[in-house]
Amino acid sequence: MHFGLVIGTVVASEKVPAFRGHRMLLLQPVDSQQKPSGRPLVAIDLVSAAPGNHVFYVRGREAANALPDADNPADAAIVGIVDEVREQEFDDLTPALLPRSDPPKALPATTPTPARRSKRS
Amino acid sequence: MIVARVTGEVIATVKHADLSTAKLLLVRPVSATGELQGKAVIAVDAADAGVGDLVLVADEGNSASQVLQRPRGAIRTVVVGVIDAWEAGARDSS
Repeated sequence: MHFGLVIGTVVASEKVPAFRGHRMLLLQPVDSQQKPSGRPLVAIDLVSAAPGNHVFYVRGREAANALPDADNPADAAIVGIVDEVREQEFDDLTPALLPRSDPPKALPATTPTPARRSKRS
Repeated sequence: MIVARVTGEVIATVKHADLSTAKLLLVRPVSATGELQGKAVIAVDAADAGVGDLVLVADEGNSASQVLQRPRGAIRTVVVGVIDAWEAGARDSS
């Protein structure tokens, strides 16, 4: 799921039947600090969000699954309104978490396994 | 799956029913050299991870449904493991 900022509403009288009764909102992808990044998109609103709200949305097939009837062509759906983001500043990984960088040892040479003797012969 | 670091938590009262009992973590992808890179995404915790942990994140709906043991729904990004150690040196070896 990604963060978004609701920047507007979209109205379409003529639309696929599966979208009837659903609100569509214009969403600007943002980061956790509400800094915009990327191009705006239209998402189906499932949580009664309003312009100005900091929300999160899901993309892909899971957006369609989020609607009451999963048989629909949605590719983005708003699934939550952000109350609070509790974030800590991390620069790089602490040494304990860094990947070990010694060159991996060569894999043990594979010896062909002797063919199993068939009991029948 | 990707390697990521948990950098925070997200609190949301109003959310989709599929997320009603979910703990939402903020995870940021980590490069093979250990730097945080790219945008943080929100993932559902299925591995009892906490802030600061290095975790394994799956971003696929079927993985999510299997890990959470429920039918396919609105969840796609899930923390599926806490990483104890990892090794990344193949590009330097010659």
